[in-house]
Amino acid sequence: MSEEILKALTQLFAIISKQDTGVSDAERNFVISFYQQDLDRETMGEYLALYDKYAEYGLDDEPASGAATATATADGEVKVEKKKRATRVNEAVRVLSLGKKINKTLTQKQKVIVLFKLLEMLVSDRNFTAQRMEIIETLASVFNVSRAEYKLIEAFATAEDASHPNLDSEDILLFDDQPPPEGAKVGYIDSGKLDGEIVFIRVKSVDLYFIKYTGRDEIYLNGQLVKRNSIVLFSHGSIIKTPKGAPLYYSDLATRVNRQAEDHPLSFNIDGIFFKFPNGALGLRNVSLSEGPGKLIGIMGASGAGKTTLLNVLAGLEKPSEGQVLINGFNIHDPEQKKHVEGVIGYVAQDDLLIEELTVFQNLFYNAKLCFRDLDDEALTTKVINVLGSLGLDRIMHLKVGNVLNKKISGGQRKRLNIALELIREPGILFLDEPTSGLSSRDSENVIDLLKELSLKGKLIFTVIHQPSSDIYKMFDKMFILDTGGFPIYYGNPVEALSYFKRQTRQIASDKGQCMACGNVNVEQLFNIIEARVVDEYGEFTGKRKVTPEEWSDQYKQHFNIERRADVREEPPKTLRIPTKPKQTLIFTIRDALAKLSDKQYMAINLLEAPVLALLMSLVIRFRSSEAKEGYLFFYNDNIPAYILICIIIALFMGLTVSAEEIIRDRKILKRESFLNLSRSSYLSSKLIILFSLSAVQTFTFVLVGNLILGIGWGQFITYWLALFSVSCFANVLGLNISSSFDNAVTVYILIPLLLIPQMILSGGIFDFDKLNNAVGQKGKAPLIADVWASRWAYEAICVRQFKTNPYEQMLYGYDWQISQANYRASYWRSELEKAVVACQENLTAKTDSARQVFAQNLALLKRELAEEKQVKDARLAKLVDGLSLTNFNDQAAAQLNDYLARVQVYYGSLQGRMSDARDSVIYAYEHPKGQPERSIADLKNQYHNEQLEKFLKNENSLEKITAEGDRLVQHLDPVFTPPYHVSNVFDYRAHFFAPTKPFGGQMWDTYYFNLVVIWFMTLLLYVTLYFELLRKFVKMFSKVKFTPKATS
Amino acid sequence: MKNFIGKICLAFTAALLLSGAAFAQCDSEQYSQKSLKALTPGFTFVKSYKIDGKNGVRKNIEYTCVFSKDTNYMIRIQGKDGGANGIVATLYDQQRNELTTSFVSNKFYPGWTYKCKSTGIYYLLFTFKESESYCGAAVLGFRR
Amino acid sequence: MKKLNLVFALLLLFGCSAQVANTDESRETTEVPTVVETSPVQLSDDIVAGIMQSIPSPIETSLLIKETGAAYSVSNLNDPTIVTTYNDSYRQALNLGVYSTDLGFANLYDKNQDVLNFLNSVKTLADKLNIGQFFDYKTIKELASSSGNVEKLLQLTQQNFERINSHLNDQKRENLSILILTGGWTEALYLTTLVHQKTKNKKLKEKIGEQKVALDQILLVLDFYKNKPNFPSLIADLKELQKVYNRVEIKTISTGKPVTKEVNGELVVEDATVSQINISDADVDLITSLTKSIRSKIIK
Repeated sequence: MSEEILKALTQLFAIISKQDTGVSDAERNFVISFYQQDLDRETMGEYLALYDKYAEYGLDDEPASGAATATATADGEVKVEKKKRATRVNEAVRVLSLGKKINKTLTQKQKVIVLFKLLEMLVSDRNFTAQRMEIIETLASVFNVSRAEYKLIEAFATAEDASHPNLDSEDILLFDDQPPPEGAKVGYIDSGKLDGEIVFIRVKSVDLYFIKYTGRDEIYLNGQLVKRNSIVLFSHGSIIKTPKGAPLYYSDLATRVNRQAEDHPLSFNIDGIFFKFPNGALGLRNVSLSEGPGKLIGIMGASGAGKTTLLNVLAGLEKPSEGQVLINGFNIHDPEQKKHVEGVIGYVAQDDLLIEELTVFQNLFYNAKLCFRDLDDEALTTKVINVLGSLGLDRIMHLKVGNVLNKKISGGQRKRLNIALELIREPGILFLDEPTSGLSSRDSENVIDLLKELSLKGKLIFTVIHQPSSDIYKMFDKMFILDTGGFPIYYGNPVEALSYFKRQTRQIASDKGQCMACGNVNVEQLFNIIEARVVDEYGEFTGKRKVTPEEWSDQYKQHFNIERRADVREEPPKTLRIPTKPKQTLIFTIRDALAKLSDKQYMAINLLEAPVLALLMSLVIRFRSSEAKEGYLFFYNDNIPAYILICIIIALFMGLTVSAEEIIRDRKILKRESFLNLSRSSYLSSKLIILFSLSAVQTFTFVLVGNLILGIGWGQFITYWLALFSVSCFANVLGLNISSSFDNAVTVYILIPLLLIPQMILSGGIFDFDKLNNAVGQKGKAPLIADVWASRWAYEAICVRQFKTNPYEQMLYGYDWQISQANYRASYWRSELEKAVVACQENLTAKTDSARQVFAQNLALLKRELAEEKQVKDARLAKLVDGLSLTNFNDQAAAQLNDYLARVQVYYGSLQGRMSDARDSVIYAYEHPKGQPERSIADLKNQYHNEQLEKFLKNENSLEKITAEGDRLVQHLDPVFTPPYHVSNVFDYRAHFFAPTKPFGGQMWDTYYFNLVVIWFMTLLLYVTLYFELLRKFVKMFSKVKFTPKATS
Repeated sequence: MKNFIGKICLAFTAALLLSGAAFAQCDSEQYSQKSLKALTPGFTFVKSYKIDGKNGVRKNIEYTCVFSKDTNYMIRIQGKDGGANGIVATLYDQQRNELTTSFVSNKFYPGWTYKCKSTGIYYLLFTFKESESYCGAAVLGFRR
Repeated sequence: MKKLNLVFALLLLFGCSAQVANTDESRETTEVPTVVETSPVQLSDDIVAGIMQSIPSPIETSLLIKETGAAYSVSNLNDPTIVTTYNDSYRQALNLGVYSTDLGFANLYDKNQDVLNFLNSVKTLADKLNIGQFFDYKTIKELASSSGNVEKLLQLTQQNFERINSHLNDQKRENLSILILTGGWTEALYLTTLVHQKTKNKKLKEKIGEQKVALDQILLVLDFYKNKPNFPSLIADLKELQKVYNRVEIKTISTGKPVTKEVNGELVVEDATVSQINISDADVDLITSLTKSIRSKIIK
């Protein structure tokens, strides 16, 4: 208490006591005892002198000469009256100004205590004159204590016994041997045979309790004798012990008085739960609890005793192997019944569950938005501000939360905010895992105080607590203690716990749970007793415990009999009204976007990464060939195929890195929000919206810079962007998959190369698909193993489209592919078949097996390939081919075949010639436009076409243009001009790499769009695995085999 | 109807059979390679000529060529019958006057050298004489 | 496999079908050319082939140039790097001829790097015309990489071109053959006129005059394809040249029958007819300038 306040109080005491009859000795003694509590002897003397002066104690009607000026207070507000008898008005003014002064410094609770002190002073000699009472009442109104409440306080202080009519209020509770009369509002607890009664008053506005004992028995409050008729603050965790009957606990009382609790009927019954770890070890053994509303329950235990496990099981995060957890009779582990208790449970994990980049307000606001569908933003803001205010966080509302390393708000504030996140939706049952860990003792106390308050409002709160201070310890209504191995060993009043264990080990002073002098509970001692070790002959502790957990557990079974509350058979009230899925998506998105936008580094890197990489790469590879005489020409840039590949790899890389950490980072928040039963698809959608938008921007800037520098025309902008965007989105979802499957970011980043390098290897841009290990490759088809990598589809898509649709090739493609195909048929195909005919003829009469095999193989080849030739029709030949067999093949048949093949050559040769002429006329028409100057198609080509890409897509570097694979011929010539062939059925989508079109469903589809659809299809599949966490399940299954579960604390 | 198709098939097969052993193809490429090797050093190869008598169906195979004055042209012949046997190369001028031939005194010469002094069009005629294979090739080389 | 197919069936169901349906085939085939089926060329295929066969190889001219002692200058030849600017088959074929003459020329002078450059250009064009498979690029490259293989190289390239011609013949694409020949012949004539301009060598002058015969042959063939795109302008240009050549006189004086002698088992025939070529210097100059302009159009 500050000097100033003490002075103000002294003046108040003085003013009041000097009224009417003047200061009595009883009053003065009361003031002395008040000073004794807070002050040392010397200072006390000073204040007493001050009191005497103001109260004019020992003075008669003489004016106080000289002293008046000396004692004027520094601010000069208080003027000491020189007159012996002051007018009432003057006194009133002084009281007002003193009251205002106190208002500025003291909290409401303290002010209420001041009121009680003043009243108590009057009680000391029972001199309640009208003037005195008036002054105190004035003060009460200055203190903003409502009139009704003050009247009750006054009645409580002044009434001699509880039957006083003014005391008939629901905020009064009697501890008496006689129940109050019928219809009385007062509460009642049977006291047994106590003399007189203990009157409890609750000052509702500040939630404080005071007691007054009117009897003659010796009763102790926290070990201190309570004087008759004195008014004593009944603080958290207090215990009243009477000579007869059970002790009276604060919590019993608080709940008894607190009618709110009864408004929410709630039963929380835990029936014999066991919990088995995946490795088979038992984590909990036969734990039963039964609780109703308005309790603050602590869970303690040595580390590894299974506290967190218990909390998780109670909160429904883990499923017990045996037993059940019922809220109002609904099993929270039953998927069906669970629905009835949605939103009833709140869970505050040990770790922070805050979004670091958002402000305190934003954290709470978006959380609230997810809980209350019906409230508009204004109502939500009010609600949030209220909650923040009630937790004392309103002043730091607009500070960013920051992380542990970069602290913006204190640990206690963080913890309170964490609790606020749960509180705002008003869950009936709240679980907290070590809410005080890492907090200063003051912060810890604040937090537990808050919890206490909540429990008094009717919440059932379970808190795992580790080594609490005595004050904190006492605030709990009940303590549940677990011993190593998940054995329950204590369940009951916290202060009693120490006595219980002392008793069990037959220690001295076993009836005292706390230090009689100071009221402290030595929690450490509790565990010293529980875990006491056997001392060996040298006085050293051995590893053996004096009392094993099993033994404690046996004791527990003997001494504790849990009274099971009847299940409340009704659905708990729901405050939670979660928004619709699209709305949730929107909220998630906004929240995530705000968080990301406020992270400057993140934004800068993600937005600059793409254009910087593009700039770097494209400048480096802007290659000016010696063939290009007039500066840079796109046509001669040999790096374009590599550029396309790297574009894709970069898009994949950006997509992966940006998403890989997303879910890991959110995991804790997700765990919390799982109690809200929010839609996972909404959450994932919001991720996708944000990541896809980022990908869109990244790939946009990338293509913009890269293509501009390399001179890839605007016409191809969309080609590149759409494809890169698609792979980037694919990578986003892939990243989210691994992010949701692994527990730490390092693992995820190690995984990235594992996902990226195959993308390069199997992109088709580095290693020729026709030259892969025979086990994976199939000649003439892109290998299946490559089909699962997005890079291969994207690479093919961009390459083919860039080639086919650039203004130069677009004009000629229609001819080029036909020329190419005619050429293939006329030259390569025909000549291979001629060779086959010769091979058949040569081996016609051969007897050796190998020769017969060659014969059979070539014959099969002939039959198959000729059957597929559709353009040069010859019904007779078709019949001949159909009937060809090893036995009827002869020179005559060979001649027919050769004749046919000669016709094929002529047919396709002249087709090629015609197409070639047509192509020439198109070029001629382009170069000689009507009414315009001549132009060169070479310029068009230089600008839009790329030589190296053409070589790639036409497979010019390979000398093998056709190969026989089994009974079919595989074309390696001009893949980009070759429509898919050897399509086996309508579902066969496979084609050779760089095919201009893709087969599917009996139709041909443009490669670019087909491939993009494939990429999006894969993205969709990944989304499904993400949604169902298939990969995570797989990884878990895998790790189960190998590792033992980590010890839980 | 079936019968009709059957008959046609039969007729077709018969026709093929009649055209007999016409199926042995003439691969003149290998003979031109042989001829090339026989070209006297100093002569530069300019052209090769296929001599495919289609198993005797074609008796004469004629090529036109433009010879320049003051240039020596050499012909070398190789055939399936071995060496130049069975094949005769005869040169005519534009007026169809025979200038020379490779079959002299009942002997098949492997070719001849023509010292040209008059620029113009010439005709090179290949004929078969008692050939069994009607297949071969010739090359033309020149030297100034 | 089947599963995968099923998956793709699903993929189709997931919308996106309509817009992708860009069936290139149907569109492209309908677009197919209006400029086809020219004159009754088919009938005279053999004749055409025969005439083409007769046109002398440019190598004869090239050898003559070298024998006159003219220095080799690569700037006289076509630029091998501009090969990519030839985009239609007409120019590709013509320049294939041009480059092949240049290749032979560089070959005669044993200029290996240039040989490789021209070889590359020849190969590129041959590939574009889909006749690259007849070009034994690998062997020629190996031969060209070391000196002293001139004979072998000439022989191989010559053979390759024969094969190409034969293939084009088989496929009824002789119009390309004649373009290749025309290109080659023009380049040879151009080189001859160029050297002649400097040296005024009599033999070269005669050689220029002699080309009357070849030109007539060439035009004879080209005429068959006069309906094909681009041909008319080439024909017109060459006809212009022919007009000048029409003033060139090739007189022959016969002194009887040629005599065949046997020398070392070898038949050697001495021509009894001597031809004389009359061509005015003015005409040579005219031919020189016309050839230059025709050639520049070809290699443009």
